[in-house]
Amino acid sequence: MQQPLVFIGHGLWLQMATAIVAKHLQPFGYPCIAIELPAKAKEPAAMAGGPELVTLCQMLGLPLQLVLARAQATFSLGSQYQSGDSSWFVPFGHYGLNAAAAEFEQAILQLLRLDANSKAEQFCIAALAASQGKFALAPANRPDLAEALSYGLHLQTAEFAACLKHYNQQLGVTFLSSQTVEMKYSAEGQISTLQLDNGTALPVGYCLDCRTEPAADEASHTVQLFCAQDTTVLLQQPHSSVLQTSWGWLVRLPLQQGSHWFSQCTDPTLELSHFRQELQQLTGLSEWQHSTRQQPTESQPWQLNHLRFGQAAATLDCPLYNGLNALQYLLIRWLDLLPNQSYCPATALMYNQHWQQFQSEVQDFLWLHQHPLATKTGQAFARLGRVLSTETDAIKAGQWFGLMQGLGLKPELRSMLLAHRTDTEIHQGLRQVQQQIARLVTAMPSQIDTLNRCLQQLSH
Amino acid sequence: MMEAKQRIVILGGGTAGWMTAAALSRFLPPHSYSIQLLESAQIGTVGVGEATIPHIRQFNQWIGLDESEFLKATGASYKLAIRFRGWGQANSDYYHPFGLSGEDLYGLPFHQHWLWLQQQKTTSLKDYGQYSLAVLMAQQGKFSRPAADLKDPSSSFNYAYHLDATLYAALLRQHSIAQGVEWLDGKVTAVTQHQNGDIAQLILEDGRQIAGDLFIDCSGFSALLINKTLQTGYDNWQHWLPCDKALAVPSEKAPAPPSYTSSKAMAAGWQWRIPLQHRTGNGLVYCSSYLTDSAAEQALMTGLEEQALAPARALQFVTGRRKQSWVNNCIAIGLSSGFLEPLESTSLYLVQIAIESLLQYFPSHPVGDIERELFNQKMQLEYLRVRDLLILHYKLNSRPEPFWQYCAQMAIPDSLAQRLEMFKETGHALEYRQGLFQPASWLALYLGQGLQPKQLDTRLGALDPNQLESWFSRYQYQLQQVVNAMPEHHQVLQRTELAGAAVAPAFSLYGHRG
Repeated sequence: MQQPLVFIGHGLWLQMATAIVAKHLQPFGYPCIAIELPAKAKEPAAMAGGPELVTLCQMLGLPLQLVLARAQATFSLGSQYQSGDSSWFVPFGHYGLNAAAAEFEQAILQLLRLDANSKAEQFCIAALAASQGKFALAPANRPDLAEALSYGLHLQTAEFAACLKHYNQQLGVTFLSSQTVEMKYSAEGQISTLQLDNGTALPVGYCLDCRTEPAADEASHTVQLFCAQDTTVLLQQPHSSVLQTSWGWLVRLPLQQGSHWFSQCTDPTLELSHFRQELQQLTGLSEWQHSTRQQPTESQPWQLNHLRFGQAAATLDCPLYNGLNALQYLLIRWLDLLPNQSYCPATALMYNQHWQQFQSEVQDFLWLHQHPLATKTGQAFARLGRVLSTETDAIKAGQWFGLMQGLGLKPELRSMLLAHRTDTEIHQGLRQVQQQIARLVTAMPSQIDTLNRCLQQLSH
Repeated sequence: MMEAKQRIVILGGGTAGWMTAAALSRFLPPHSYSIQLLESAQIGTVGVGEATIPHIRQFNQWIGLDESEFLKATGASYKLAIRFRGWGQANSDYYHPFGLSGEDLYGLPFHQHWLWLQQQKTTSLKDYGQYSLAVLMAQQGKFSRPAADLKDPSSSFNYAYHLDATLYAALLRQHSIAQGVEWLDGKVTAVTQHQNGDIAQLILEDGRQIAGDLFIDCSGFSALLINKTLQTGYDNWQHWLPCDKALAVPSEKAPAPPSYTSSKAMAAGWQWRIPLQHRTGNGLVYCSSYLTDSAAEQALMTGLEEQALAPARALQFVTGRRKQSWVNNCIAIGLSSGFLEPLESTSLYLVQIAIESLLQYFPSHPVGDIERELFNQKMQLEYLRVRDLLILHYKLNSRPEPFWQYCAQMAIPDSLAQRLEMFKETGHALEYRQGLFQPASWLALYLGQGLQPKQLDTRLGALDPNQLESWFSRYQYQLQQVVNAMPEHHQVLQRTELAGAAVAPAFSLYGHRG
């Protein structure tokens, strides 16, 4: 009998963590116990997950159709950004027809330099499809298209959590509820038992802690605002929308029966009333809920047998990046290294270092939104048009490129790897790719058709 | 008004110099750039890099070099692995293949299953290398090109070459000159600098002055520009990699050249054997604190398998790397930027990566800080990650000789210590995105040199060992059948005209599946 794995937290994060780990470890004899604690802060009713979320559903064996139906989900090929008069698309998939095509993005930049009317989106299947309301699931025999059309989902948080809870129950996970949980430690500093409010003391092999920092003093913390009042159905938009505001960014997530809005402000000088007023002006919506939280910090999520994954993932959670992606990363990475003893300091150290790398890449991506030229990544792009190599898949290559060129960073230097080609040759090559992309997108169904077909498959 | 051409001067005509010239002349338009390569007939070249890794195929393809032409011109043979004998223990014998071993099973890495079956004392379990197609091919003298289709078992390996570095440099020279590179013969006696420290001109012995905007220092160990002129410091890694001398000697060709490089651990270093089509390259890398030069020469010459063709040539080196490879308007590529012993055949790879990075971050005139910084970071990472794997070869040993005892006891860099400790704790190897060697390489070494983890993945305990054993037997049998159907390596070498039809090279060291 293996040592029990005990999960603590609430809502979607708890259910997701439990599902991933239980799916992998229950067959190997690990007892899994999930302790549901009350939520300490309001949570957004909807979320956007990247391609990792789709991979997760496949890994769990959760049919996509079921998730679409239960969680009112829609597809997302990326995000459409709007800032003043300029707009651009940040795709999950890659630009061009082949992810490995050498210097393709450099060729695009070269074209943009010469032709102010051209847009990078013309050379991206996902961007073009999104602009036309098209969406298709790539056939199994076209892995190239699957990559180019890499997609995520917008879905209702509570409904998806319920779906996962049902899944976890079917796997045999034991669910307990408690108002509080108290950790008891061994002499070596490991969690030995978890004490619930009814007096139950649960022995612990590993404690997978999915909690985030509780809400605290409103004046000095991050304010998140959500609105689920918008009944506009945007099925012709298989993407999130991101709008620049005076304080940051406002995100709109289209679901099957309406849209959800989500924003965040970290400026302590900004009055909440001012915030609400501007949101109302921008969206025409008045019913904004808010929650305040401390900005958590966690760079060492693996400490002995205490895995502080919720806290770590929450450090990145914001309207522009869903912490659930980070949580999923933390869990999968931990499962990759699963040790059979709780004390393995070198493994935990390397794991934590890797997490810091992931965290720093996401933070870099978020920071780019505010101050593109204050980051090394932005500076390198503005000088050379290069996206720096990353150590993790936290942010996809297409996202980096899409964001930085969309933000208006124009490289000073052109690629020397293309210097032996004339501008005409580059232009012609790009136009051929553009035509092929246009043909592919023309043949694609609309998101509405794809969604209907998926839902019909479920009803049959 | 016509804009002046940017003048690029490459100093040094060894493999690094001509690889750089070939790549720059392939991509930089002649109407905007002039490329001159200066070498001196009075100064010999070291001729490093007779054994390569698969990335060289990409380089050749990149600069437009046909594989058939390359094989004929350089006397190259194919290479699938490095065979390590005597490393770890005096009687050890393992391969570090350009390929994967086994396949993931039940969501767990193959090596975890292998280690677990070993713990269960499974009688039919074979050596770890026997589950690698590249190892079986290398051992049995077979060769066939890898496949790109991931369902094909042959997509699990890659190949490189053994080549004659002097002939390779000559081929690249011919290629570069045809592409417009100006070849100059002359010896540098002085270097002038601008006020900001940038190099302005090279003054030659005969009074000629070679002015440039960008200087590439491929002057080898002398590091004439990057160090003697620009005074860039050097990180000395001899306390981790204590060998400081080498002897090299060519011998007659082997009747059937093996498709692997041999590396045999000796009392105070190691001996290499690199089989080419027309001769065999041999050498001994050793630590002069533990072995005299004459004893080293004796050990090398008595260890030759074929008749020597020339006297042994001596080399002296300090293992380490230049603190910065790119300073002002000078970029060091090759031995001028650092030296790592050829234990894992990485010399030409590091040259190649430097050239690729230079082209990716190619500067305008004047050079900007960003491209310099990015280039230096990239090269530092590549050197450090190769370095750690080399140190591991020395660290993991239980040999009795004083040299090896020192290596077993020595402190190692934190980056390596953490990886090593992690493997001991859990049997897992963490991959990284950047850098050359992935878990397949680390595992070949850990297991080949006898390191056993204290614990394995806890999931293994739920498996049925008999079922797993059957799977292992079937898998190994299937690999053997694939190898049986392949032609002999020496036969393939005789038909080099067919080489050009090879599938596009995979970027990974381990083939398309890697």
